[in-house]
Amino acid sequence: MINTMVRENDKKTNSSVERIPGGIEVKQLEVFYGGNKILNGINLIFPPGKVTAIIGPSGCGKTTLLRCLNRLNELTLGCKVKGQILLDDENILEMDPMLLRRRVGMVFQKPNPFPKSIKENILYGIKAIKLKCDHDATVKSCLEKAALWNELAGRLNDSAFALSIGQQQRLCIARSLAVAPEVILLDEPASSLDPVSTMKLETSILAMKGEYTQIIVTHNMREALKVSDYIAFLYSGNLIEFGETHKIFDNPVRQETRDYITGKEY
Amino acid sequence: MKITAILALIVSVLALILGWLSLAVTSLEAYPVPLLGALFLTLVVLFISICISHKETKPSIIIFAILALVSAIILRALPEYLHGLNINGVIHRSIISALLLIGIGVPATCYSLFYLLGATPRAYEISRYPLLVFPIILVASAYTIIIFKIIATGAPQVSWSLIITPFKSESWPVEVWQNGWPNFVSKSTLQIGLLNSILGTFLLMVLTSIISLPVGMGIGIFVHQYAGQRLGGVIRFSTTALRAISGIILAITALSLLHIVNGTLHRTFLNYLIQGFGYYPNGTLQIGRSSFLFASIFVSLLVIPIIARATEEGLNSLPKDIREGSLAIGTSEEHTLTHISLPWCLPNIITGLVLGCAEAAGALSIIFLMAGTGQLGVNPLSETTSLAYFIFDSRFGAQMGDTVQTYMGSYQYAAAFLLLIITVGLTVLAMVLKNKIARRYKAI
Repeated sequence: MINTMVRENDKKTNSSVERIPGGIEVKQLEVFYGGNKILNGINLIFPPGKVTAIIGPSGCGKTTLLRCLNRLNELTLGCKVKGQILLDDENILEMDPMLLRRRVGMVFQKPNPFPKSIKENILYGIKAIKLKCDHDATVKSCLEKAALWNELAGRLNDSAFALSIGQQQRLCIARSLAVAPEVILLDEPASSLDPVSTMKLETSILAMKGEYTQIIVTHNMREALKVSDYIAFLYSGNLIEFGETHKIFDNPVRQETRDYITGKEY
Repeated sequence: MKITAILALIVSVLALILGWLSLAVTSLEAYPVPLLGALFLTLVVLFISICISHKETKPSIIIFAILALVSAIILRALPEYLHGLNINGVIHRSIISALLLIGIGVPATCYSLFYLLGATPRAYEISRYPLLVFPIILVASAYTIIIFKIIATGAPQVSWSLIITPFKSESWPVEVWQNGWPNFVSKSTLQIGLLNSILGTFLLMVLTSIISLPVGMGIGIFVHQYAGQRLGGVIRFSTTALRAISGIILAITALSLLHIVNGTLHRTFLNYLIQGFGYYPNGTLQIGRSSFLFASIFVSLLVIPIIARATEEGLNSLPKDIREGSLAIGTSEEHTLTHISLPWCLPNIITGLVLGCAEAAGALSIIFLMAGTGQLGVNPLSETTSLAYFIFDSRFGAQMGDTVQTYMGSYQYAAAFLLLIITVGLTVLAMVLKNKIARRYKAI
């Protein structure tokens, strides 16, 4: 029942695609922190315009994989990356990280609005790269995409810190949308939110489907089932299984996946 | 029992007040009668309380009694011995008996409060207050007395003309004929004013800020963002160590540098730059002892660590996520630094800067060997002077019996008062500014 709903949703968003977002292909990715190998040779394709969920137990390298996709892992000292990550056939490990991060936006685990007004938060990226555009229109469209416009229309000049946690997190999504990325990475975006805020966040993820390639790390199986088209299951640095969400949930190939999804100990 | 406790409380508070008075006011000699009365009362109360609760005599009460006796003995008997040892008996007596009285008074107040309030856990808590409050009162009263003295003596001396008059002291030989023989007599003019000292203080603060702000912020940013664990630790340690060096050592270093400059580079551009120069009203060029520029470089050595530490702590307080969030949007490290990190720690930097400015305004230990009276003008290349130096010079010179300095000495409290106003004003300004910025950026 849920699966058919997801598929219907898929069709709806597909009909309204305006531009083609970039797909990401990961080839033989190995990541080391100091002497520890975090990821062992991951091969994975994130299909364009779809939501891919990365699931797996804590410490299996989900966040590391995600941070490799916009090279934020390079901020950590002693991190080495081997292999290839292709964004529309361009190796991102050889790109200018600033240009890459404009194409691959990110939403963090904890909401991290800047200590500025709501409007300034959204325009931050645009002003930084001196992009010429209609500022008010951009603010409006970004907030609309993040399902936040109705709540915040009258208080754009308020401080972002005055918002609720859920609103802050959706503001962070709106902020990353402002520089028109192709891919959005979401690192457990709902982990610090209450159920209602989580629902609103999921709504905005579903609304962005088709227009952006979204990759979401999550611990919440219900959330993965609700928002994702594809699921990648990681276990201690290895990719165990990758496939369409309903296939993984209904009929996983590997025993580990089945155990993890059903919550068995192993 | 209750009456005893009330009596004990009264007596112990009396002992505390007397102890405080003997520390705060010059000597205890003025209060022998009330003091002895208080001690006598103390002993009586103790005797009664021991008689009432004779079943369990507490050792603390015995110690209390012994201390009271000792202080009474010191007050009456000891001065002769102290005089025999060639020690000023009056001062020492008052200090010793003050310490003893406070030593008795604080625990006695605690005890009597405890019993007066009925020996409950809450009373136990309240009876701890005198232990905390009395040291605060002592320190606060010390500050109050100092500030009161400065204001009471200094404020009436300050007049508008004193502030806008530059200091001038000149002497020149005049040929006089006496009994058919030429004789040279020294003629002099003296104009006491604080204008160059005030301007010099401000110039020293401004120059020190200009030098130490970029360097200090640079160190803070480098340690936080770019230096690794080990290098960062080394830099942090060395800035702290630099902060711990006393100014006098820097002053000696600066002085020896000045001597070298004077010896090797005499009358060169560098000589003028480092030693400073100016013209007397009669047009003669005079090389000073050290220029404002040179002095403020050395003062900066004390200020840089303050600003570096403030910057680093401000940057540390920025959540890592916010910085990464800015980078994740595709902005450069520099943009993130100037638009997110630095605005965030601006209040910290301002606090550091104000502390540094206050340091510069009162940095006597560095400049007292190389400053002058500021008659050669006040600009970055003229001779250093400041209010702190004026106070030092007048005091020191007056002790040495110098007439000019004796004249200046009558205005030292005026100078101290102005210095106080400048530093307090600066601090208030910084606090207002800091709150404004904090409200704007952090929106709390």
